[in-house]
Amino acid sequence: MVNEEEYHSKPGEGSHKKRQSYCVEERNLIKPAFKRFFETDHNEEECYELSKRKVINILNKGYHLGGKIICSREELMNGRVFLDTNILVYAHDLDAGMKHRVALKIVKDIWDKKTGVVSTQVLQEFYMTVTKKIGNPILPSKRGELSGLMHAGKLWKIRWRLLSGHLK
Amino acid sequence: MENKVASVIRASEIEEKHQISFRDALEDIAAFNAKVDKILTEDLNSVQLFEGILIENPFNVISDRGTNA
Repeated sequence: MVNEEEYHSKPGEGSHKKRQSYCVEERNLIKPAFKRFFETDHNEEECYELSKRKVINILNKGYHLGGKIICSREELMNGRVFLDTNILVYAHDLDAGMKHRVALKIVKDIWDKKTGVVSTQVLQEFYMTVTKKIGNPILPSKRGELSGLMHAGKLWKIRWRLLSGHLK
Repeated sequence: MENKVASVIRASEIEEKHQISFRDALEDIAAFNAKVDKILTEDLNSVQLFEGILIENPFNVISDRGTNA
């Protein structure tokens, strides 16, 4: 799954990384404490991987390895979700049928929780697709809203009215 | 999130290592830098678990149901 070797091969990281990997290997010491946070939503394999990631994240923040790790529930699980272009496009593509409904539900849900993340690359691809490639492209008159979206978007700032406007 | 120069270099490394497209690699890195827990995408050409981030296809559930019905 996660490639340990690759993790070590990152430039500019020395003993800190070794310490981390040691810590991550000690399943019995730290993992169970984190594991229980994930048990309700994920299966065992996912729990293990999520726990590992969280341990690494927390260690990166400089918490000590040997003693107690003090962190809030929020630090363990921020709930952020990265959305790929195709999810955004399906949410706007009325012809996509079932995929449209699923994607729309996801996007709405994430919008409400404010936990979505997109990259500039995704925004570029999204713009190109909804204005040119889909069967029912967004009209030029509405593209102003789209570029407003690009401008506003640091993380997840897609205008709600864009979404709801296109769905009428 | 913006893709910085380091991201691009790293993406090319990952592209080579995991045999995925450069675009997917770049996306994975952007997600990693944003400290997300999960990536939702339709094409799972990315590595399934990138640096501990789950990569999930939300439409998988439907297609499974579709074949059963």
